[in-house]
Amino acid sequence: MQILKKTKLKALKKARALGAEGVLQVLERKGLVGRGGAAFPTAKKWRMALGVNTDTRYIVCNADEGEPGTFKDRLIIEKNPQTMVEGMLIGAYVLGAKECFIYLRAEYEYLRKNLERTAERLVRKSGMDVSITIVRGAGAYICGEETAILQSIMGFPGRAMFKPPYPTIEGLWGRPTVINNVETFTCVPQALLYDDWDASLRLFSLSGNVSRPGVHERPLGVKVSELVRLAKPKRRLKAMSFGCFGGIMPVDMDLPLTPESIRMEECQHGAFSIIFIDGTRNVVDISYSIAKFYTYESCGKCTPCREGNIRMLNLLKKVRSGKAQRADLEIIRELAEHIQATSLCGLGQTSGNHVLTAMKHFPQDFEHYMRR
Amino acid sequence: MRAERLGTQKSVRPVGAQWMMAEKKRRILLNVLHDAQERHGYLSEEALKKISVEENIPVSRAYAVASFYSMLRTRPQGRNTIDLCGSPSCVLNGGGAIERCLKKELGIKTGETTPDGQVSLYKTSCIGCCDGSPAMLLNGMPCTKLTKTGIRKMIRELRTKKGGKGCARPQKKKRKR
Ligand code: SF4
Ligand code: FES
Repeated sequence: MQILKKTKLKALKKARALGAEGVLQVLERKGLVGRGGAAFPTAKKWRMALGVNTDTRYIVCNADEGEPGTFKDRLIIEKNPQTMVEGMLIGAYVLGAKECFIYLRAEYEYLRKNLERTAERLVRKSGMDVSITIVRGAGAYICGEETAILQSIMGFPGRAMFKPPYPTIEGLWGRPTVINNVETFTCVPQALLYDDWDASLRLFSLSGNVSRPGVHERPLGVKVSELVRLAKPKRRLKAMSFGCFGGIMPVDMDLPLTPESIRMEECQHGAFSIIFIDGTRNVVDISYSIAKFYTYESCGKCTPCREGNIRMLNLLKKVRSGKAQRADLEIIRELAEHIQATSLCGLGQTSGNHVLTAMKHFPQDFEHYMRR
Repeated sequence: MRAERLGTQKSVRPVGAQWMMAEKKRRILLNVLHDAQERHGYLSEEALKKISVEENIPVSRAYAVASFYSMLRTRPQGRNTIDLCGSPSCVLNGGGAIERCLKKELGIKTGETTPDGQVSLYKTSCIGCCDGSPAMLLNGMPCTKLTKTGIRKMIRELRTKKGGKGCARPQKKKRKR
């Protein structure tokens, strides 16, 4: 796997030889984009922070991957933390940052000791005047959102904030702050150092009703059939869900997975975590467990997200109990659209995806409960 | 709260005095709270009051943070904690049955602690072990591919180990090829 290649501080050396501008140009040329789902060009983000006239900038590594079905960052932190830290050091060099933070989710507490040691060792070896602090997350999914993560580091409840100002302009303690996730930071040194670095490779986390779940590295545009082959399902697959937020779509074997093709099905790829669901399952049940997740994880700042998702859960419960009428489905749709339109952050805005796509692609599953 | 309001202003303006203050005397509150929780088992009222004095923040904010995050507990918890994943991958692979089994064996509901103070059972969102689903965290360590037999054995071991943290981990299911 390309993502597990080590760069052994050679990339940092090269970065210093190239100079800040040189590094940014290489990253632009290689086409490195953020791997969290938004695919924002990394060099552009760094340039925005550089554009602010200040002497203090911060770097935050978002190791708070909380999306159900995603475990690629765990793999990187386990197997290749050196390269990730090196990416942060390169960032610190380019931005002139003196302080970096790694926001590690509480569920990965067992990886902290090793990560801490790696960071210390690399900082010492690099001879840079930089400190890397690990911030211990505490089990809030919302802290994967960039404004919430900053609130959390600054010692507030992790609630999303209005944007603008964007964190790259005004982040931690009002200073420009660059937030990238684990995978992106790991790609930085690799893109710098290796000429054959391939920008199209993505990490696919496959799980669900399959016998060989795991992380696989494949280029964008990989066929669904290939992923299914890798995951070895026990029974015929019926649906796949992109994490919790991305929506549920039918397993179409010939579909090449690109952001565009996924959007055509009204889904979102996010971090390419795919939960496979087989034919014995009813999609409504999955939708129900996703709705539970949102009820639990909403930060409570906006009413549509906080209350709406509870209503959604109750409505889906009603559907499952067989007491729902057709009018209820209409209410579900309206409610989902309403939450999407009126929520502040990504969590609320995507929280209706699962049920909207499920209703679109699997009306028969809803029918199944109606007829009882 | 003031800091929160500052964060919402639209224009880019010079770094305000409050920010400067907060930036200078900073310790990461989350880390402080985690440390306190490790020392005392949970974040009691006294612990939070003490922290608020040390950090020079209102108690309300210490409590706001402590109660916002699910892994910071403001009520006493057992010597061993179980965080069972309740997200789709685990549910698809029999997480529901594992939850029922845990509840039955421990004789408690989710969110409760056994009367002998040995085990607390919580349900949480995805713990990033979906490749080993159903999964849970036992005292922060992941236990994957859970089975009912494994769970029963683990709980028996936890029960017999009075005092200290028992680190019995349920057996893994053998992978069928
Ligand atoms: S949309 Fe939901 S999670 Fe996001 S800020 Fe609003 S209440 Fe919080
Ligand atoms: S869904 Fe259970 S660990 Fe990810």
